[in-house]
Amino acid sequence: MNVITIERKVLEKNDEIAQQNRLLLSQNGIFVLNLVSSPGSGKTSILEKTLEYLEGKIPVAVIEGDVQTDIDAQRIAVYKIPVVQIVTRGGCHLDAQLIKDALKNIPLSKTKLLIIENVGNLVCPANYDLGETMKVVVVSTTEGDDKPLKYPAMFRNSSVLIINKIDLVPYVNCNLEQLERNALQINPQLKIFKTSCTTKDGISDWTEWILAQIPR
Amino acid sequence: MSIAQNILDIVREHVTPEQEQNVRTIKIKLGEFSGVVKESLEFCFSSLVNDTPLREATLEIEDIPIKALCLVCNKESRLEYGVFFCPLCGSNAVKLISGKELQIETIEISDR
Repeated sequence: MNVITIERKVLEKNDEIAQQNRLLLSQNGIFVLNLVSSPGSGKTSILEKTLEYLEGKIPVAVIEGDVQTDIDAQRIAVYKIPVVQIVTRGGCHLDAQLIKDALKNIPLSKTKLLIIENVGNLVCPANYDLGETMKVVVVSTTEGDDKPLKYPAMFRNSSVLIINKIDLVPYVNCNLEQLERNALQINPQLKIFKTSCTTKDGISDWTEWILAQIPR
Repeated sequence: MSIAQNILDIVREHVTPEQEQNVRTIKIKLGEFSGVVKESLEFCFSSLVNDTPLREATLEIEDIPIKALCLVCNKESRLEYGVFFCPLCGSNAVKLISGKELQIETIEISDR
């Protein structure tokens, strides 16, 4: 038996390309958020409210990831900002190469904030570095307060948690304090925002925090 | 599935097309906190190599436990999945030192 020693990370290609993306984006002074969540937690709605709030304040671009459609990019196009739709055709996550290709269609020198909306999935996107500055995990109150315990990798790897649909708390089985405790148990460093895209609660806190991260 | 494909791509970089049919064992280090389920990875891998010259190849997966360094008491401990507290002093200021591995270690190729 002949044994070849490899000792290579399985995702090293992805990590290398992610580092190239990170370098390119930081050279252009772009702050990059990778929005992750399960399907239906309200990533696109938060993005819409964020873009409304940021209109005229800072140049934003968006990369949308979807398994099948360009519905989300159509929703974002009304804000008259650069938006690129990636359709993964069944792929359950975005990867660094897809972002590298998409960046060719983003005017980098004119962008200060890039928001990437990942495919709705709390498992695989945790493993794929895209070259973002940080991951933002969104969880909605309708999903219950135990999500951080069930998907710890995503919560551990994220820097920000947005708890969305807080207007629905009276109607659903979700204890907000418990949800926060569970999230902080997995990741004590998490910065937490609580939002509702219907009442717009919390949207200004979240967007002002983004603005504070961007050097001007 | 894309992780199994990545493994296959790396294997093909290290063996010649003639050697593929002789590849027997691919040793993988898989951290408990890698986010990858061992059984799913094995299933995806066998689906991909089925009907290819690599069909005799199997994954030998070594589970790597989650270990952390406590930044308060400065001791190393084994952690349970998804519980990020130092079992010795109870602090939540812990830094993972192992458990995220997803790495190909060796490829074993039969002589015949």
